[in-house]
Amino acid sequence: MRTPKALSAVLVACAVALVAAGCGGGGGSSTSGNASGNASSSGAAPQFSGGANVAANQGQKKGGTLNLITNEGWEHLDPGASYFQIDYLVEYAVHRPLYSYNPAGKVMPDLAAGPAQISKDGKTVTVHIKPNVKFSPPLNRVVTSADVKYAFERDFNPNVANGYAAGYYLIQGAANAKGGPISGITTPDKTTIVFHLTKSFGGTFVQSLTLPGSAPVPKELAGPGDKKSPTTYDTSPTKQAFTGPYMIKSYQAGRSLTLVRNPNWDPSTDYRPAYADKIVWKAGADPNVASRQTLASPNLLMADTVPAPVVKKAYQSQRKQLSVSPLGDYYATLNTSVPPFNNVNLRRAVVAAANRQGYLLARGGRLVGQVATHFIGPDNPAFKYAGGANGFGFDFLKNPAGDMTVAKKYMKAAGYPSGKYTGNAKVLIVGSNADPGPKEMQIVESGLQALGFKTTIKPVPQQTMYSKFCGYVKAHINVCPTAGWIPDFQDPYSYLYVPFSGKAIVPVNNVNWAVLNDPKINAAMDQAASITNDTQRLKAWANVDKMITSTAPAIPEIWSSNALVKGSSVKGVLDVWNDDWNLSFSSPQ
Amino acid sequence: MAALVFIVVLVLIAIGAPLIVKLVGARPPNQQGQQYLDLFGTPTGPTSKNIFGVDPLGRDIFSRVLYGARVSLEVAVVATGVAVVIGVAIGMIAGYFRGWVDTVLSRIMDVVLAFPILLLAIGLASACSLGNGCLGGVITPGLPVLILVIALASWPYIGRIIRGQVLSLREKEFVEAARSLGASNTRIIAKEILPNLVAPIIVYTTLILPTNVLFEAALSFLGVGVQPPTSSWGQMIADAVPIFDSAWWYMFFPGVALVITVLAFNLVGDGLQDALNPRSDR
Amino acid sequence: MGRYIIRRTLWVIVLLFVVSAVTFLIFYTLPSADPAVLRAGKQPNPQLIEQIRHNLGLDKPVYVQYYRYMKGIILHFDFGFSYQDSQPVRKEIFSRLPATISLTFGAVVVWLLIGLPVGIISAIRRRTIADRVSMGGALLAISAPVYWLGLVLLYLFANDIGLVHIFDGAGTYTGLTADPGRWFGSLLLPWFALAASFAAFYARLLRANLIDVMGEDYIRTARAKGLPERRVIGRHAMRSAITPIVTVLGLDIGILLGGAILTETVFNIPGVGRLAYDGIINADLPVIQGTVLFGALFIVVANFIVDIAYAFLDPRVRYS
Repeated sequence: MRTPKALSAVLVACAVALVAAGCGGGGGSSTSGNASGNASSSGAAPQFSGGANVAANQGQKKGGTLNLITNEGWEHLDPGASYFQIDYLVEYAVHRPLYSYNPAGKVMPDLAAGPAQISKDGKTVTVHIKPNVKFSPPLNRVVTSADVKYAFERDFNPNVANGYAAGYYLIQGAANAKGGPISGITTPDKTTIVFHLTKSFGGTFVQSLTLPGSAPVPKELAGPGDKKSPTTYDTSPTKQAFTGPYMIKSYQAGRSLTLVRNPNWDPSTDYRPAYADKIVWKAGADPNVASRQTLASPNLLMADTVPAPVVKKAYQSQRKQLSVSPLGDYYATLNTSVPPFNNVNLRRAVVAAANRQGYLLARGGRLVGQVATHFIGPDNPAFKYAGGANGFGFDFLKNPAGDMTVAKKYMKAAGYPSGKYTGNAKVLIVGSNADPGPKEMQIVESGLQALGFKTTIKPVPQQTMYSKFCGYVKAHINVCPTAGWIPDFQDPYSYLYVPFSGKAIVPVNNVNWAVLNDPKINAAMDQAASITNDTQRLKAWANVDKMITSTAPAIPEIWSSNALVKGSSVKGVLDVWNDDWNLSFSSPQ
Repeated sequence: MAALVFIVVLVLIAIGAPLIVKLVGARPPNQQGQQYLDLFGTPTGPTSKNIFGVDPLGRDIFSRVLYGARVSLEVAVVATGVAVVIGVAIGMIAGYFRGWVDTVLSRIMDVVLAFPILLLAIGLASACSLGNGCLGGVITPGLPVLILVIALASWPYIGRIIRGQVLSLREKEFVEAARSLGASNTRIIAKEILPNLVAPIIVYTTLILPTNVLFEAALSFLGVGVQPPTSSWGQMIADAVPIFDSAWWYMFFPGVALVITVLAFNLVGDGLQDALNPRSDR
Repeated sequence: MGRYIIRRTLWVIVLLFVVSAVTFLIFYTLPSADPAVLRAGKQPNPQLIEQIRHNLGLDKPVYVQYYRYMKGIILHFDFGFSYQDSQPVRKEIFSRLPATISLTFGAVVVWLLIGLPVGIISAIRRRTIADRVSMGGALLAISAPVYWLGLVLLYLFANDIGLVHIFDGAGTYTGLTADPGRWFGSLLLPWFALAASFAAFYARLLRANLIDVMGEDYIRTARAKGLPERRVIGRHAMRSAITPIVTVLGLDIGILLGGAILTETVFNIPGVGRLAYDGIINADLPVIQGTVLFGALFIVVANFIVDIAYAFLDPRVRYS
């Protein structure tokens, strides 16, 4: 999983979400629902969403320089390695994957000439690419299917270290290719590429072709560097071959980045308007300073998360410069594989006792999201089939501030008649030491202590949390309260499969932190992923969501929103799937 | 004198924190209360209920500051004690035996002093905070890590000074006399040299103590101190950084407690130095 | 003298080797994040992780890794690549040095300009109100941690969030070459915050030294000869009272150049200290290793320069 610094303390994969919930005019299920019935406690006010006009079309003009500012620096600008919200802004402006999302979240053929063809058994996917897309100077040649094939080979090259290929690109012979040829990819001619999959997940695979890992990479340019660790294609991004409307002109890691127009980009092959002539991006700014500076400026776009106090100020006085839109969910996992939480009723009791309202407040209240009642969030098309904001009506999720009566009921069912835990298991809570991680850990601890559990809190650096604790199955961490998930693409597969399928459990870098391995749920997921009819598939996933919520492998904390700010006259266009600016649609004025 | 009284009071506060919190009617330090937060999660400032205001989890800052004194004093005193014992022992050995013993020990002190110590301390402390600690489980996460790291960083200062003192003491007549009477090295060190080191040891201990209070706070500020929900001043200040412009009380009160404590120790240290050092007439 | 310098130089080199070895051992053997796992992405199969570990050279014994690391530094001045963003560590440190240098030397100027006059006046006007007030203030300044002082200063005076909008706030650092005016403005608060405790310390030190020196016989003699007090202090007393100050100054500069972590953190200055801190947060071993070595280099070199200078200044130092 990529490092999710921008959304601190979250296990973020990357972005997506199809429905433009309440933003920029996209349709679909808006999210103004009250998180739940109990309005007595503070923070239960409806979630705010919207603010500035961030629609794809707001009268942008061609020309000029677009200025961006961020706190975070870029991690990897290599299309094979890139897996980070703000890196994506650059990737989709300079590279063209087979498919990509337009600002409203619709899948558009990008390098591909049209929709992919999926075989009846769902195991073969064929894509034709546009014959007239050229690489940027100095390469200046036409992109062929071999360049796409090489891109996939790189995705499995350890020197490139792609973050998601093994999870989504279920291609035959890929897992052990180590950067060499992959037997499951063939290129019958210069514009055709065929993928042979290991599972019948063709419909889902096509969605994952929107990730930058499918953008073409010329072997003659990247090949020699890919033999080094780390690859030089990643360390020197200005020397890449670009296909998008822009090229990376200069790059100073963590400091600055300049994009200029790609002379070989042909607008007739692309849906991107590419308004700005030049894009200048400064990173490493203090988030408080950068957000205030952006609010005070005419022409700045701030591309990473705005600190909660500034969001609050912007909401109170400059709402037209504030964009709030839903993105992903946060939850606290309960390890279902080891005592004490291998008992489903005990888990339900913990969920019932949890103060989910407190999580919301710890993150900044109603401007950062709403209290969750299940796992699929409002940013996903399956949300409305999963009961929307009210969820499935489980009693242990009814009161957002926690309900000790319900908790006691489940404690009794779990074999603790006094309503208090009397076993001798000590609960270990591990989470990120970056704000608000420690707060979330203390909130979950206070709920556990109310049920009589003995607890230990261990705040560690986020990377350590992934690699040594929560993502390391043998560590048997009981509670990981700072988990968050931003799906990589709009299919619910990307929301639920990796975090909750028993088949996705791996010894290290595991993302199924609850170590949930329920054969019924596993089967239901596989079955849902194989459905080709969109509505049917969404409904099937909504049912999977219900099954997961019922077994309480985690406390659903909040469905989060991402807040962005922009200058007063710049035209910022939001990519609803990434919940960040689209550089090819935004314009300086 | 006032400073000494303050330190006594501080120690009493640290020990009696639970009692004081009860007497004043404040909430216990770890009791969360979201009713004290607004819709956006911003904490409320000083009121009659929470005289120092509340933190972002709605906890009472007054109680947390009181309890924070415990961590601060415990860590600083124990770490200083450890550092002084190590420093005095090594300094005496180096200064008394001279020759290659001195060379080796002095070089070790040079090495420790050559490290960017805060950086090393954060690194060590964060590494030792994982799993079952480090050095084969000798150093467990939490207070022991802090104490180890701080002691490790501060013993060479004492060591160097003691070595210098011993170098000149060992040439004094009374040492020569003891030696000519056939006293063993151990006996000379224990009976002749150590008593003469009492004054400098006290002075430098009181000088290092406030530094170590600050050191503990700095480590906690950088996120490698005690584990939550235990409160410590440095960690509270760090926690306040993201909201210090909207909730000044969260940063302010722990900081004031810290400054006053360090100031008191410094005043006492100055006083002792004047009293025990006849040369200085300030 | 020549032999003394050679011996000191050799010791500097040995010291740096020891520091690098100890750091290497600490950070590579203690539990922290596994870099191979960090790079592997989600759902990795074990072979992939092994392959990454092999490619990064992490499957070799520690001493081989250390040898390779030191070879890279000595032959190519290469500190390896950051695990976080794959950039060369040397480049990252060099790009952060200007900020740290600006912070350090600006603060040095501030604390000398404040600390020395206060120290002299306090020494001359001993036991007056001025002396008591400035020494009390000095003790207070020594007792205030720089990060807290920084926050209070920002809360009071920063031009974005302060009660009175006077100085540039946190995170406004601009390079000297980019805009000298903004460089100066953005560093004013950090300079004062960082300089406060140093100024206090220097004032106290100078005062104590001056008082000691003025009790010496040769000062009494000078006074008895009827030399004006200004001359006695300026010419004779200051000369010997300032020597220890120079020593301390050299060492302080060395330490600060290695990165003023706390100040850089509070004011969000992109310096070496901040880089080191981020390295620890991200379990980025090459960055930690590189910054610790750089920090040690500055400290050791400063020590070296101070010792040599001392040997020149004070003939009583034996070159042994």
